[in-house]
Amino acid sequence: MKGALSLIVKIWKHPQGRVGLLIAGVLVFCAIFAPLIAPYDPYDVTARAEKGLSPSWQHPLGTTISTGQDIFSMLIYGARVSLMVGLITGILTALIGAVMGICAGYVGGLCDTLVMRVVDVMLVIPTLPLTIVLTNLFGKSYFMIIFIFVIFGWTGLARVIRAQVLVLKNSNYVKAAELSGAGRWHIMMRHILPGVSHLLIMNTALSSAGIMVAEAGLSFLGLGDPTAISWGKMLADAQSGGALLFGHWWWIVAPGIGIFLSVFSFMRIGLALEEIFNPRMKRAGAMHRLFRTLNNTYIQKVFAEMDEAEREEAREAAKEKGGAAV
Amino acid sequence: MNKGYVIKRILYTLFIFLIVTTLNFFIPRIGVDDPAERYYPPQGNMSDVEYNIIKDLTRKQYGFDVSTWQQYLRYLNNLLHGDLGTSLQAGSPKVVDLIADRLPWTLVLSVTNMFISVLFGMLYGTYAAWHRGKWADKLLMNASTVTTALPAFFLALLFSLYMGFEWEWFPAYTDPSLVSSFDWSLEAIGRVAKNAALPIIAMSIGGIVSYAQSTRNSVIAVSNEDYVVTARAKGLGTKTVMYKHVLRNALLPIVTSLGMSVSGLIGGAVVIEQIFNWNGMGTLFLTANNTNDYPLMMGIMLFLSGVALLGNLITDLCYSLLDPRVTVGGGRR
Amino acid sequence: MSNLDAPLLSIKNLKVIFPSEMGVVRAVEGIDLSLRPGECAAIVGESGCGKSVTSQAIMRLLNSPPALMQAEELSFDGHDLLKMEENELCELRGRDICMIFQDALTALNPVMTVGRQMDEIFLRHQKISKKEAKAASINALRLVGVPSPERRYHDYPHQLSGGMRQRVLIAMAFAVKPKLIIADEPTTALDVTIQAQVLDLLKKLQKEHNTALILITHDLSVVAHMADTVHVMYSGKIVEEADLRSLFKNPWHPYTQGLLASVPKLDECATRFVQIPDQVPNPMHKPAGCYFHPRCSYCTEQCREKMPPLVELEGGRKVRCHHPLK
Repeated sequence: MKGALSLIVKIWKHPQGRVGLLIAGVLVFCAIFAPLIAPYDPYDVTARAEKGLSPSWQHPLGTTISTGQDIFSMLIYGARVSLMVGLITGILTALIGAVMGICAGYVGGLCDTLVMRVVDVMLVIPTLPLTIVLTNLFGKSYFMIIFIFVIFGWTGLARVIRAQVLVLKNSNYVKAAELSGAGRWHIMMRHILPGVSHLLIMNTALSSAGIMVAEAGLSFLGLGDPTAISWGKMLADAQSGGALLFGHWWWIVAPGIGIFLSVFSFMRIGLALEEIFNPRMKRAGAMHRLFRTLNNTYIQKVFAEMDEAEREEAREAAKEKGGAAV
Repeated sequence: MNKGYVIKRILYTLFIFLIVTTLNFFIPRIGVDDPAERYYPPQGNMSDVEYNIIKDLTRKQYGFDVSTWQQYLRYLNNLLHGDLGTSLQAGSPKVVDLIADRLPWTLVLSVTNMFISVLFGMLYGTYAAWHRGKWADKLLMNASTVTTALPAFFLALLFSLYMGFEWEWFPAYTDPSLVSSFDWSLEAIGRVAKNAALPIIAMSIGGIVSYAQSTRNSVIAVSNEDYVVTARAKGLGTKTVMYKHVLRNALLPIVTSLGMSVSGLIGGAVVIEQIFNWNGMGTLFLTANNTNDYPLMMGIMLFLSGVALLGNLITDLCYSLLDPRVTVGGGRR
Repeated sequence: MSNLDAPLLSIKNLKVIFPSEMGVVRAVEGIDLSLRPGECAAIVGESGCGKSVTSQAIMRLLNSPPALMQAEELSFDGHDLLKMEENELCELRGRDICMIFQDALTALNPVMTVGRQMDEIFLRHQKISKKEAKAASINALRLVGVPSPERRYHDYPHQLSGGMRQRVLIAMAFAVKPKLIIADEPTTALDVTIQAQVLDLLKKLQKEHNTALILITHDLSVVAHMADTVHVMYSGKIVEEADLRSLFKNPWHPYTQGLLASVPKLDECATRFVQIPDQVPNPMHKPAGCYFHPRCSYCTEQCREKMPPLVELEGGRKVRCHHPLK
């Protein structure tokens, strides 16, 4: 708990991470308090006689053309689906990826072969068509979507974790623990897991971002829960409801911005974590930025500091020689 | 190239393909005792007697009247003869024929998209790496988070709204007669290009940025290698070092990601095809989904998996040509 | 043409720093070096003392960013390297100054055959055809004792043994008969028996072509084999400078003494290795006073407070110590 708090503080101190944290915070707030923030009931399709309103004070983003729902309220409620699917999937993916990766890497042998074969199979099965087939077989729900994302999402992480575990396994401290008779389970929990935890945390943020895009795509295709309001489904409604034809750009842009903000914020957090955990891997030519901001006089001072010592030395050397001559 | 390596890779690919086909066979059979119920679900106004007759017919028609293992062996045998099954559509067309009809149209979109993404992505990425920290590089770094967060289908809708409806630069919906009237005349090809423009633009923006990003990172990583310093110490000019020593090594990982993306090449166009009503594999698949046409869906799935496997195989073999360390004998550290 | 006594290479007050977000790394803090044609100077020190940076700085191979360098003088054979443009430097590199790197596996391009990498030098610096370049490369490989050079010419670096790879690097360095070769730990990655062969080869070629050589190493036994003068470097500064014989007979700096003592000798029946305690100071936080004082057994109050100057004592020897061990 304390660790989580200090991590959030670290992200906050990172300029890019702060942007992500702020946006994500606003989105989470919207999702939790959606009924309080939204001015109208977004599910209500019978309330308005006037449909397809343009943005106004009453309806900041207008109303839908076909049913007259308030778009702004829908936008607020849409955050719920996006965040829920993204976060739950991200966390579950990290868990399964960690278990599989550690099994493959640390236990090795048959376990390793088995996991890696499964990964190879998963990689060639086209995800989106399979998702469509499975939702067709088992019904459309977010549970199904999360399930499929998790089943397919862990493979990439498992590979990364496995590689890292193989490095750790050969490290001296794990060898020392093995020699001193520590059990496999103990080593896995005490030495291996902490060694890969940074990868897990980072991956949760980045994969959540990826999942949110994918969820929007599936909802757009009408594969999400047909009764829920999600940004992807709003886009589909906009397309089929005639937003393009009537030029109601706000109906398209609003959910688009929702998707953008949620994905963008999680990516920023993920990238910030990457830099926090691995400061050597500075992104974006941070070195160049540093060089541009470097004060030239400062650099000259550093050089001169070395110089002065030298000169002082020379002076003293001369004095000493003089002294010796006398 | 080392023969043993090639054979090993091919055998492994076949092994994975066998697993995929098995999954493919069993997925529609999950949760039902009789696949006929899946193919012809009971309708409300049908009596049990009527439905049983229909079920029997379906069983006979699709060969469900033998044991599951016999069905599986027959399925594999059909596959060996290039038969992916029979669609439930009226007229019982072969799945292979349906795919063959639509595949070229999907390839128009996806191959063009891939070509544009890889070409411009690599060029831009190399340029950005070369001018590290300058505006081109900074633009790329900022663009990469933005484009990942803007899904292609959202861009597609925006482009359709503005470039299609408002400014009328390109058709916002694909001309429904595009496929039927195609006759290889210049005029027809031009019409295809015009209709394909918006989907391709929407798809390739993200592609260009992600290829540019990985090219840039790869080029920078290779630039820090010792052998690049050696090359400079030989007195080679910056450009020679770049072309001869950095680029070839830097593009190796890009080749891998290229092969990996083959799987998404055809399947990834589903949403875009749907938005523009493009008559390709994606819309075929969605239609199959809406009509519960399982043989067609599973046939397309298997086809896509096969293409992905083939893509991976070709990538591996190409990689071994480009990187002598993979196959040419000798110690590897 | 030029007077024999005139130095081929003259370095005065060379400084290199690496600014980073955490602070400034002072890699090289003002070193002087001068070298006559055909002479061999050794720079000795532990890893992290700035030896390799010095060698790359001489060839102007350091990238900026991340490195920043400054020098009062850096002249080679009448050229002022500090004022030369990149294309003029390219002419010089590989033709007049060559370099032999430590790890031949990473120093050779993995996807190019050894032969083609050698050809590049000839094609770059001599006006000859590709066919002639191939003949010259094969000849150069034969000269360094690579067996069946025609076959090896078509090999990739990973197919050669470590010793062979190092020979290839040496062949590349001597290919166009340069005036100066900088060998950066040329034998560190090799087995001891191979080390001796490679050093013999290096010495033979150096004498034959009368090439000046800067030998950079941490291993004093390598130095004993090759060098005329020795510069002992510690934490970016030269701490002792002497001709080979007098340095080995009578080291004045406690650090040199430590280095010499850590070379095991057969004639003494030492029961344990003599070692210098602790490690090289972090180049970002160097200790006050003499950089060596935390590890020095002769350390006094004066050493803790003031950096000693590099003073010239009898016999042209220089030492940077308040209490030289004479």
